[in-house]
Amino acid sequence: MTMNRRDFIKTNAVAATAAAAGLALPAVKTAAAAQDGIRWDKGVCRFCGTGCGVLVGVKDGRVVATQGDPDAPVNKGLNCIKGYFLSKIMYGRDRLTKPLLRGRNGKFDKNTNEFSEIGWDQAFDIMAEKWKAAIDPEDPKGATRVGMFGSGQWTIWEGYAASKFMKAGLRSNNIDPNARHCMASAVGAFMRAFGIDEPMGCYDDLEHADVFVLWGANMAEMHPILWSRLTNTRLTKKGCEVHVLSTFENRNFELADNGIVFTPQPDAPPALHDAA
Amino acid sequence: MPDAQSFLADEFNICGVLVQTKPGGLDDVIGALSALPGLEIHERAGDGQLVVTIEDTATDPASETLSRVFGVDGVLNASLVYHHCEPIEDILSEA
Repeated sequence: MTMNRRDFIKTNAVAATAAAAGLALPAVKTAAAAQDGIRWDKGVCRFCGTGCGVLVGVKDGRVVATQGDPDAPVNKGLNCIKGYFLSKIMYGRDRLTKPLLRGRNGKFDKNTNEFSEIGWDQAFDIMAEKWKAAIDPEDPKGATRVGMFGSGQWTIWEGYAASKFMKAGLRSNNIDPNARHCMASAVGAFMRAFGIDEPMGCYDDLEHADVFVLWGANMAEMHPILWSRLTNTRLTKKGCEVHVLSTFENRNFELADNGIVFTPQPDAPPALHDAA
Repeated sequence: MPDAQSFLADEFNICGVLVQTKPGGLDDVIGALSALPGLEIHERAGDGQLVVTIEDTATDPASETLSRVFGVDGVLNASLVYHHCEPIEDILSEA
């Protein structure tokens, strides 16, 4: 069977998508899809905190394909629209790939908005020089003049290395992940309401629950993968109900058995009123 | 096969997308989806799911078309399962 590469790639796209839906395609199509010069490895999507497993296809040193990992327990073979940019974002023409120095004539100057390309060695030398000057070991408050914000997407190893670098290396306590800012208010509220500082529920509940209440959570647009699991449960489980409470009609309402739009900042919780 | 000129950019870009439709309105959804540029419906599953591909056209990038799928009445969800993007010259040289 002859097949040009473009048709071949399309066949792959169809076969993978059909498999995620639990559809078996005729053998001839899947056999064609199996032979290609792409090496597949596993990764995790970095675009939100859901943690979707992604298969990454590399050809000639370039990522050319991505696919939701069918074996990943979180997303079960699906990605959301953000997955579209997993490979594309790395090859954007406007991507910054070389260090830029703020300043003029190759010298750092904070008072200008001009930037020019410099080499990595020079960039690291200038950064080290500025950090050392800020820390000033003679000054007891020196270590407080530097700090690092970590990403919630750091791996354990990255977080460990950053922590060692800041605390053991620079002797500064000024390191925090964005999770500190993100969760501080939520933890306060959880402790007050439930006496424990963890969000309740886990991903498996999406298949086991009978009733879902989405209150101020726009899952369809913000957490599309978990939404696909909720959708599947609602459509396949007898008696399953979805209640959506929001200050405007969002995409969750397409699936809602009971959609409630309320005025912002009401005196009484509308859900309790509805249930009474 | 379209020549390189008909592509939006110098890339071959295709998405495999699983569309979950609301029970009951599958025919209407299929009609509306078929009208979208670069979108092709390949398979349908019994539980209201559609296997579609979306490609760049000369005027519409696949990412835009994918976003428009969510706006189609009766579509509950659209999940990107497979994405392939490769420089077009690589595709043409191996065709």
